[in-house]
Amino acid sequence: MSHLDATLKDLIQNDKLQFEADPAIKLRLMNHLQAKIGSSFPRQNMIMPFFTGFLSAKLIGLKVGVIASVLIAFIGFKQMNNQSNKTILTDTCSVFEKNDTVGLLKGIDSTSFN
Amino acid sequence: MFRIKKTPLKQQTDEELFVNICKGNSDAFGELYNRFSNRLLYYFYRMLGNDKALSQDFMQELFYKIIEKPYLFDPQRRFSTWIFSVAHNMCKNEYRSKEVRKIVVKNDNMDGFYQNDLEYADKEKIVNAIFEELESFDESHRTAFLLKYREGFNLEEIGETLNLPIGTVKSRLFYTRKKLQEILSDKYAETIENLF
Repeated sequence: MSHLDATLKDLIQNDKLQFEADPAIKLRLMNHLQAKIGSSFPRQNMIMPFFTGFLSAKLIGLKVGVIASVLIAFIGFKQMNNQSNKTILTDTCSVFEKNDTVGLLKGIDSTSFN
Repeated sequence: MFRIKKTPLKQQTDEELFVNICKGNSDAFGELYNRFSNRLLYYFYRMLGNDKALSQDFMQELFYKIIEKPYLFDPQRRFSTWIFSVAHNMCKNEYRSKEVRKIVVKNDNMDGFYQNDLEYADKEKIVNAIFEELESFDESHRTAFLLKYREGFNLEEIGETLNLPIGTVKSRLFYTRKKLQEILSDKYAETIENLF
């Protein structure tokens, strides 16, 4: 670095302004940024606005349409999975006979003992 | 559970701070403002004819731009070169619109912090003479000069800021230096000799 370069560097780098940035500027900018963040940046835990929007009367036709199509799709899916066309096979080789002990008491009339 | 360790704002690069601003972190903005406000204030002050109020306005406007249009920043670039190129363009527009203020506010208010400091007074006188002389150059000469001697940018960074090839930056700095050398050796040779 030449002598002139060193001189200029020393002069300019040590040159101080006799004032500083107005603190009100930072305050204004921070407020502006906060306002911008509040209006455009996504916030966490925003479940309420979803429900408020969902339950409002706004675009009701569209919402009903979406719900109806979801229901239709659901019913259609159930129908497809209906097993009425399948044959139920019974295993006749093993037949169990059980005694119905409740039925045994039915035929007894205790008044007739006298 | 795992926790992502966050780098403290003071240790983050300018570019990282900018990314955090885009994510809505106002503390990152505060840190970036602290790093650049006085540097930009000096730049505007010297570029706009030592106008204190105008330099404050321009500095504020530049930060407004950062808030309003963060997408203007090209992540491929260094933040410092980008912000000074925006500042340079603002000065260029100001010069064009006003055919700037040929009146340079003489910065001879010496009743500030250094009234009794003769060495400082001498240096101040020379600095003022330098900037008065720089008024005769166009804004890109002046910006190149400030970026080199104040901000310590290298030729490549100055070229990136001014969108000029390195050769052009070199020749502009050479010409500016040559002119200043004439002034300094004519008027202030003795003072410089004593000071340095």
